[in-house]
Amino acid sequence: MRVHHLAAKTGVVLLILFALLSNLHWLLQAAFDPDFPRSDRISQYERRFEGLKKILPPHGVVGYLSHRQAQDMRFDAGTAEFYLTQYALAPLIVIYSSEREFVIGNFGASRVDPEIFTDHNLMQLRDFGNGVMLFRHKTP
Amino acid sequence: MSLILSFLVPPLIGFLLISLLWPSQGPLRSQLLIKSFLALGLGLGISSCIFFLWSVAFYPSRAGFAAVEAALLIGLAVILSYVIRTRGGSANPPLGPIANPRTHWILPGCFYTSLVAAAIAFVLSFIRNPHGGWDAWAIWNMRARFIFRGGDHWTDAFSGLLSWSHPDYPLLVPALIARGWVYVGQETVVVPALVSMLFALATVGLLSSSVTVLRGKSQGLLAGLTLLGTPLFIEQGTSQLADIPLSFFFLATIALFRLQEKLVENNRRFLFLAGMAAGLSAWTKNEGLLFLGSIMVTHLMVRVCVREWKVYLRQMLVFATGLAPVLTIILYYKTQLAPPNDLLSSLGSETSLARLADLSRYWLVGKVFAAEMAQFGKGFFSVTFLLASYLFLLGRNGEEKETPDIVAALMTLGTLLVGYFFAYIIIPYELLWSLSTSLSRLFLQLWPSLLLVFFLVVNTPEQAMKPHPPPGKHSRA
Repeated sequence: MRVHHLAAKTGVVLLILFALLSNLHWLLQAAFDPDFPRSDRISQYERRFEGLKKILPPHGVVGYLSHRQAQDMRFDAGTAEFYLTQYALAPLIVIYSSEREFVIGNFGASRVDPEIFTDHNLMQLRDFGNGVMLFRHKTP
Repeated sequence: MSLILSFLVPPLIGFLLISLLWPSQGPLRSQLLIKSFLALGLGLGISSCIFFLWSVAFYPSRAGFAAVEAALLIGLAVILSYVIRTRGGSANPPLGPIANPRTHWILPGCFYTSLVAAAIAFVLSFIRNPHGGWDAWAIWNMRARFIFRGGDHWTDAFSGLLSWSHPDYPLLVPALIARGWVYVGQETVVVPALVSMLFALATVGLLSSSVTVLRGKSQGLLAGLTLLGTPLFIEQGTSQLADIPLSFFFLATIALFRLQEKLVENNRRFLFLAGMAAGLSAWTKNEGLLFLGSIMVTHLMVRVCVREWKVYLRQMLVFATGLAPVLTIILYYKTQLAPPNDLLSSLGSETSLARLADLSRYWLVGKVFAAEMAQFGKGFFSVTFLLASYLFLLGRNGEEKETPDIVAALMTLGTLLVGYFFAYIIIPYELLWSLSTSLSRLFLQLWPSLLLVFFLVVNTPEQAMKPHPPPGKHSRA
């Protein structure tokens, strides 16, 4: 009988210990994250598009051009940037193509070689100064 | 103020509806905890459906939506007060816990400590990452933006041009977020975070309170504590994804079936709520449709095995009545607005048949499934090993193990696992990458329901520590 009692008590104590330790471990990880507190990157990223949003139509489809590949979300660093651009500009639909009347350029902090858009038959409408640009297709 | 109001209305609608349907005719405050947690999740689901219907009918007009919910709230309150007044004597005794001995203070102390720790983790995570995890902003919150910002173009959210964001996914979470923004009058990151937090709270609360009603307070606290002690649950809860809301509706459906079987004989109102919860699971994620099919088929199989198919038909009639309104909304959405699902579209194609015939995919998926099961939860140590040890140490409860709905619940969860397994076999994306980015979330969807079944089946501490257990009550696993 004592064995049953001891076994049951051991089980309950183990379960409680597991829960508390897991919880504490998780909490400490969250609290002592070396990056914490940092301003969230998505909000920062979104702010880059504030000027652009004011002059684009409220809905419809716009193209997208970047110096980074966004074909494969597993490997291409540009995928997150493309998705974040869509997140920032919704309900406008952003597609990864230069074959639209309006095309958004998203070039991060890198210097932009004009060939990157002239090769796509695009005319620069505006440079927002933070790597974000707006182009118009020369042949609609 | 409007933010508080937006999150106060759904649980109130849920509570009034549940009180109307609750089989026990005791006072409103009886079984207050389980009613409240069910009301929280089901109420949010109902509000999401109402907002979707409102959007279909009247968008871009936002004026008047709050009035519709207020009218529903008042209507339900009037009906409930009328029902309470005309009930007279109590035909059914109030439902109560099966066993509710005094619980040592340590257990509630640990439970509430864990709850506070989880709440702090939520706040820290929100401060660090207010837009949620990748899928939250790339799928759920982005769709909410389309609905809220889109005006009469809100259905652009389902454009095939956004195929990378799975525009066919159901709308419970995006509609709830957009609804919150409509109440507030502007976008705020607090709304999706609150939706996420409330569903996590409702899941812990429902698990704990339903096990309390069915097996006693200490068992209920242990169940809740185990879920709170699963860091993956907290992590995903703070990520603003739809997996925790989905796990709530799976849990609610299974718990309501069990409550019906164990506590009520002369009516089947819990099954009406179960049908509604199952429908809302399909309104949350496509996996809910698989759950819906599984639960109906497994209950049929179990009832046929025990030659109770008439019981099954009676059960399913009430279940279907609760399910029908939500299912109608899903059918409308899937046939009129949403583009085809990428996984289903690939079914039957030569490539998917080739994947089905590729044995190396089975080996890889099996291997990753086994590894994930062994190390699931991101806990301090393996929760799978812990629960196996716990079952061995406390023993199995002879009363519970063979009841048809527990068997059906286990079969339902098993069927879901098999369904997930085959979804990976035919998935049109790179396999290992798909497994590594989503499998733990799929397991997490089932985790609260598995814990419910586990704590129904395992002995309570009081049973295991009884000085003279009756024969058959201590059979070891």
